[in-house]
Amino acid sequence: MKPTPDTYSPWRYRLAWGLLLLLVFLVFFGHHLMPYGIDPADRVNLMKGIDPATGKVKMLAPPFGPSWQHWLGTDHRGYDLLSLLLNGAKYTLGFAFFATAVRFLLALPGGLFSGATGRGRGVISFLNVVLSAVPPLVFIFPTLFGSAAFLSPDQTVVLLFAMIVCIGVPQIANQFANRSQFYAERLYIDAARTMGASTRGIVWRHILPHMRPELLFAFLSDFIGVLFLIGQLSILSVFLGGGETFMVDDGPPPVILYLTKNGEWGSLVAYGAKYIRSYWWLVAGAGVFFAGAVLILQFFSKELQRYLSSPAARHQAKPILQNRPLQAAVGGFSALCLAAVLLLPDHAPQQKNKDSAEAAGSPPPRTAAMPAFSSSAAALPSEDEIMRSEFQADATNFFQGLKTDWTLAAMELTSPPYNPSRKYETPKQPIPPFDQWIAAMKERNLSYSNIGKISDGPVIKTDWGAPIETKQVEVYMHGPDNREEIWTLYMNGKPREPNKIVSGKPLP
Amino acid sequence: MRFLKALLICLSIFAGIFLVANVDKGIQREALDQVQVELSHQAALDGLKLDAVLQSVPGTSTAGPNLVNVPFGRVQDFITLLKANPYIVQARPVLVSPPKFTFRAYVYGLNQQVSQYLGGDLGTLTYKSTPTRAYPISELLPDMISRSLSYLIPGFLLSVVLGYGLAVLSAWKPRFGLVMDRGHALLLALPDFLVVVLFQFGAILLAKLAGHNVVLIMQFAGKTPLLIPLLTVSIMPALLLYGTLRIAVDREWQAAYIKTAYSKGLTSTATLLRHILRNTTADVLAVLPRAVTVCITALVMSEVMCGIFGLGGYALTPKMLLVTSLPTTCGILAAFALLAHGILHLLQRMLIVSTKEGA
Repeated sequence: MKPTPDTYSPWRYRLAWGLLLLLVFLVFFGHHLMPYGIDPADRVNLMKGIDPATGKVKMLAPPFGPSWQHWLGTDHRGYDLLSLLLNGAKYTLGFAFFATAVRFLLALPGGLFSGATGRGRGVISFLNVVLSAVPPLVFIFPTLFGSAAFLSPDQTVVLLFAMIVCIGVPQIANQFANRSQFYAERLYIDAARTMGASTRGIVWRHILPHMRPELLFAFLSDFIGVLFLIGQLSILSVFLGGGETFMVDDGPPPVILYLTKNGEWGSLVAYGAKYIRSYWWLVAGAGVFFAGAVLILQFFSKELQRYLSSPAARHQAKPILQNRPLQAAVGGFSALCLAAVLLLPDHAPQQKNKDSAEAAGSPPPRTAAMPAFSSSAAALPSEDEIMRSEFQADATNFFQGLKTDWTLAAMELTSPPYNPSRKYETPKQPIPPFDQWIAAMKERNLSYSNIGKISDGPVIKTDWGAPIETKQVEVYMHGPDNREEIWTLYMNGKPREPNKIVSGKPLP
Repeated sequence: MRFLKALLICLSIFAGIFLVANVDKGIQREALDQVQVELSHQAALDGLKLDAVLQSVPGTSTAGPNLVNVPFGRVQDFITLLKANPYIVQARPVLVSPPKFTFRAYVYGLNQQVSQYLGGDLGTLTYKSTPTRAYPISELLPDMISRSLSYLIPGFLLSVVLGYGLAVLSAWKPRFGLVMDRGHALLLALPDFLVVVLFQFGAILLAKLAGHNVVLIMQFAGKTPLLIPLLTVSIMPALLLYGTLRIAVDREWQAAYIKTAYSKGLTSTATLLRHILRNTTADVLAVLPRAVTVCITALVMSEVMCGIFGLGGYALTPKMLLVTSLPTTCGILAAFALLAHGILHLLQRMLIVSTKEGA
């Protein structure tokens, strides 16, 4: 009835170390294992395949499914997904590692001193409750969603990093304050204090050495937690590895995607998740790498816990200098790394860019990380700006027509909604006051320069009976000898409607 | 005192969300005390300079060529005033490039936001199809809340039933428990978004096998997926509860009173049901607040991935152009979490026997 206790197994422990080293190898030398490069020249633009619609063999555009050439398929740009993922390992795992390390660097001293002395204990505990009572997403997501449009990609990554660190610091500090408090109540700490040891000495010489094993275990757990958070944020379109926009035209309407240039896993998960129904391999590869990394870390953490909780195993362990198997493993791993660097080509895009830039004598292009939102509080043009640009475009075309061919100008005149029973025909001849304008332009050699002030105009009743609320638009006409004249156009004030010209003010 | 502390925690959380979610208000993209103007040709024809034109607009002064100083934070008011002047063709805000964060702008933005909230404006949504119209979120909130709660609450309850039930079964049948422990370790290592992906894969495969849709994976034409969000919301908290309960049951098995119970002839099933489960209530109630947090995260994940227009997923639907209501909806999600924590805290006080030693 009682469950079998988890016991330490040397083979499992070694396997855990082996897998962890594999992950480390992937982070540092992943770009040497890439089967293809990830520069624009390495894109696969066309490939022979079976058209799913007709069932015939023809040249198809990416994304391509998994095949012998591309084990995990390609993305919409034609980049090999395996290569992207191998290159992206260092960004995802590296970012998570540094975020965790900074969390610990900030939290550990505070937590240990607070636990040992009791000072600031209440503040740490309070902050811990505040930050752990709700999901971290409710703090991070709205902040980055609102700010990303106004910040540079690098600034956004710094903000993301800062938020991930700040959210985690009180929790870690509280955890270690509890442990530190536990050890600080021991008799040997009292003895040390009686013998005159300072608080700093007690923390670093007596408490910290006792906590080394749990420190390592807590670091691993937090590292996994940060990876989870990065994955969750990537689903919310907050990720590190953006870099270029790409238009995907799988069907109307075309979609503009922010795609990673460096293969950061979170961004690939976010991108692939959008196409799970049509191109399952896009998310499958990224998902397997992400889940694989988390599983390896979880497995290692579990095995480490088992090892640390087994005093026999720890006592049996030989010192490094006498441990032949360990020396052989370290040597083998080092040789493997060396072989990878020496024998395998480096496909990392930065390296290629650097080389080509050096060859061309120009600085390498900036490949910054970029979080991206499909829709965000981005800076949109104001309604005034939209209206002005629409008026400018229509006025330019209209005056071009007045100068050359009335039928072209007439195309810019506002027209009634389509009605098959009462077909509207644009005027064949210039209508007043535009006949007068054409004559004036010819006579005084005037040409259209720009539009000026826009203000509310009169309501004008059209030929088909519909009243139109117009805007009165000043039009600058430029003549010889820098002579300027201001004419007035009445244009349809409704935004985003074609053919804006309604009428004009007769010239004096 | 406890009530005050709880109140302070709640206030800190909402204040924290408000402060960090409005950080963008401090990023100045446009100057808050200057306006760029363009004089009309008529002004040139009449021989008027900017100084002369501004004399008719009180509160303004010349800051440079085509630049006008206006009182801080009143750029839009003065743009309207300046545009009404016959000699000014165009008045627009001055762009700050690159945008920079200033504390003054941040405080001003926070004040503006508070005024908006006090005026009943909780934020707006603008759709790509109607870019000129902003819909107030307050009109959509009842639907969004009911949609999200329709699987958050059942999902949480399902997670409690699943986690508790499987843990009891595992303790009762150790062989089953061994298999479950392996599965638990594996599933716990999977991030929640990958769990949604796996469910969606499963649903697609099922649809291919059956030749028609069996499980809805995306919100479409008024139909909202239920099964996938429900399972996603429930699976992670269930795993958390299962793991905690398994550890707690293990701990209780080692206790001396269990050996006493055995020696008195109690069967293992009776020991489990009468003693162990009762004594693990504290552990269950201790982990449930964490389970609520996990539930809410899973809710956001599943809504985004299934394209559900709920509290967590609306901002990222492809049809959205502009969203200014995220602090409000994140505050509501935080309120759900805090409410659940409050209820669980009350349960803890009611169900757990205090074991303080007497004098």
